[in-house]
Amino acid sequence: MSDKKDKLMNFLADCAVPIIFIGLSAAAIPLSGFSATYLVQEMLSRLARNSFLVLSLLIPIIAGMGLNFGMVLGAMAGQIGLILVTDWAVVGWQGILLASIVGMPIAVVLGYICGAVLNRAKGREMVTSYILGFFINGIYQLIVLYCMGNIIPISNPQLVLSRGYGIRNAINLMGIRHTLDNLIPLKIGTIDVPVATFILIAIFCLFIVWFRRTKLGQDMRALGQDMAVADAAGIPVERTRIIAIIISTVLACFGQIIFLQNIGTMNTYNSHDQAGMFAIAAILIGGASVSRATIANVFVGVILFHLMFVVSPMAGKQLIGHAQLGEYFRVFVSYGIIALALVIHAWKRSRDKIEARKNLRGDAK
Amino acid sequence: MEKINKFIENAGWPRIIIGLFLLALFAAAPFVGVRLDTSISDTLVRVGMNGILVLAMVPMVQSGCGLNFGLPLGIIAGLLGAMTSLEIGIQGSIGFVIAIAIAVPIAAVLGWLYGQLLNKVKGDEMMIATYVGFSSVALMCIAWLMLPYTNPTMIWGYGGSGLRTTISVEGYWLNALSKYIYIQIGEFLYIPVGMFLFFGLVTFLVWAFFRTKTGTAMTAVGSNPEFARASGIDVDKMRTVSVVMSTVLGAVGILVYEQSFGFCQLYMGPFYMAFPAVAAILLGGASVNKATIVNVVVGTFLFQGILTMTPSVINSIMQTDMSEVIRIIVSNGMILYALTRKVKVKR
Amino acid sequence: MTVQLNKKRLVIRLILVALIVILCFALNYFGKEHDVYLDNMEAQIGGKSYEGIAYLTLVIDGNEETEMEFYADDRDVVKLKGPSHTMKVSVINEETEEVIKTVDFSMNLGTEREVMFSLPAIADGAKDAALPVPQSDTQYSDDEDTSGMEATQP
Repeated sequence: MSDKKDKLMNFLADCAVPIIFIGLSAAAIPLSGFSATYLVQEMLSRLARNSFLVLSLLIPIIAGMGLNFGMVLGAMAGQIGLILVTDWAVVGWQGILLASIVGMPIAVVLGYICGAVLNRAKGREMVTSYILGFFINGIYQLIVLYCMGNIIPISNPQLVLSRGYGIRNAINLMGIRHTLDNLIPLKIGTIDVPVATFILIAIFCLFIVWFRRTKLGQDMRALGQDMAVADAAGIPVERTRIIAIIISTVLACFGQIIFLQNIGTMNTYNSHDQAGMFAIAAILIGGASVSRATIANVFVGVILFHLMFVVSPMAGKQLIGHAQLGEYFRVFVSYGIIALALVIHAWKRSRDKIEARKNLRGDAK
Repeated sequence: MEKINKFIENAGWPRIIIGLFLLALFAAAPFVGVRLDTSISDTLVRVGMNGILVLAMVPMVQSGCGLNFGLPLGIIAGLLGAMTSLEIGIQGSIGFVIAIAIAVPIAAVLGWLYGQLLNKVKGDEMMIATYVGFSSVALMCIAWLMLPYTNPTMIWGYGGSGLRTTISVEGYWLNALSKYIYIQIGEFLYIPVGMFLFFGLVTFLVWAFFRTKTGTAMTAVGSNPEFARASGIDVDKMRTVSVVMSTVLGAVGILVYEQSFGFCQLYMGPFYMAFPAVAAILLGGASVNKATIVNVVVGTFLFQGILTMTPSVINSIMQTDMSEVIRIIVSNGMILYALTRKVKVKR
Repeated sequence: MTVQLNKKRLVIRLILVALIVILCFALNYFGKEHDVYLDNMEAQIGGKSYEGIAYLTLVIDGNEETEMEFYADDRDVVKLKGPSHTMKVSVINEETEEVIKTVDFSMNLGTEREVMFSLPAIADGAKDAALPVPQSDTQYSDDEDTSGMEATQP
């Protein structure tokens, strides 16, 4: 009897966050007064825009390294690729491909650094990768704000600040805007479907499913279960962890390029910051935890998070007559949800530990 | 030679590099046309402003709760005290005392709740603290818009409701601490003695606290929780007390900061305020699980010294403002260094 | 044995890297966007001088939808992607709407970022119609400069 109750409780604890969000959205959608077609269009384009970034979080979670706040490193690499491609005036799908090729080696190097640093901070990967994101952000600014334009040649005056070096705050990506989304045009009614982006995302999902079955993927899962056991079993722990982070960083680099080609303008000094936070909030809202995440979590999370993202300012305006209030509410929810998910996870873990200790004592008797 | 090696080992390379860097900045200052005395008094003022915020790290580190990335919680309590004091409208130092009197109980209550939460999540405190801080700041953004304050210097002129993003304390309690007690040498050298006296008082209280029975018990919890439990110390209670202390110090710290700075920054203002404080104490030689008063004083001086000196000196040398980037790299690099140092695993 | 295997591996990797580099150049060549200035003014090319044409229409790459109109002394700019394009210039009598003559012209842009062509020269059937690109003196203002990052960075 108590076993059943426990199971139910566990199920509820696992799904609590998505359920709360479904409830919130259900209440907010009629308040906001948006039409169904508008919402569907918006969700489709946001799903295409963000899924790749969020998916890049999966592999470190499998490897037991928690939420990879270091994914912003990959986003920065992608942005450097985009800056260079914009300067070379390469447009269209060629531009996107070239940006990915340029960004990839940078992402590999950054990913290696991140993995090596995290190996020195086992047990507090999340906070370390979070701070590492800020630290590399400082170096990114040093390069983009002071080296680009004099050490790294930039010829396009539209990109460079009037003082002669440093990249502008906002970069117009007109040349590659929507090129991936519109590569295979499809229109259902009045709704545009970004087919090519979804195909890429689908390929990526298949890659993850396949990857879990490979030797490396199995090693990572073993690591995620118990690092000491995996080490005893002869799995090269540190190397595997570094590979997990490199894969995540490179995928985040591609994800950021896909994200920005949809947006069309790049905020040189802020875009990557938000990328990490929104991706992590989304995957947690989808019902993932710090130690367990599936592909389904990603898509549910992106839809629910962005539904709230679209709806809440209007709902706030209708309800209290203050759009700013909805805006703040949105910020609060994104941070609050991460805090809540982390708390639930840590709490569950410490409870499990106490339980295990009790069982041990029981055996001793 | 051996002595030097030992010193380097004790202090750690990053700290020495940054110390030398600061020294070089001071040495270079006169040659690039930056007045040394102005720089020194700027640095001193900033040390006084930020000292207590850095001090707020100590109790939580000592009790094993890690670095207090949740400092914004205390700052919010301080801001609530400041706002209420401005609303009452009493001028001068009494207004400042009233602000503290209001802020401290709020901070105590928030800190107690926060402590309860952190007791549930042992081992993951830092990450959760960061996000508790962030979400409380975001929640307060909503509150600042809704709270029924009426003082016209504080609310938006046109809407008639909602607090401004920055509120001046001028005419109320600007420079409340060092208005009467200060030293002015020549034209440029200014030492805010009043602020330092207050900082010294608070520091002494914290120092004295760690000499009491509760204080030593708290340190014991931090250095070895199992042993502390075995010797009959209530671990959770000690941790809660330390979190309450940190939060209260954060609230007092922000008020000291504001009375010197002259403005209260609401909304997203407190968002990242924990990071400079964390970086400062680590720069002073603290680790993730051990911090002393000396760390606070040294760290604040080094960190604030760099913040004051880099803009003026580097700008004169290179004709660009790189201080922002240097600040980001130094502060986060310092935190990163502390987090990745091989420490004995306690749990 | 292992040494050989590693050598083989190394060679394959080097070839892959070289292929990627070649791909980069190819992408750069075929995906490059060119600012093509079209000039319908008095011009001198290779010792021959041309007068601006009163009225003409222009179709690029056979796309009738983006047909352009030029009067005398007009100058316009189009953005074209890729190295080679064609354009069809039709000189038209504006009053009678009668097409006086049409000329097909193929542009080979290579890797040039900006080029300028003289339309009267093209209409005259000249092979070489390139003009020196005008120096743009547009000053781009720093909209927000670097501020704004302060508030978001710790």
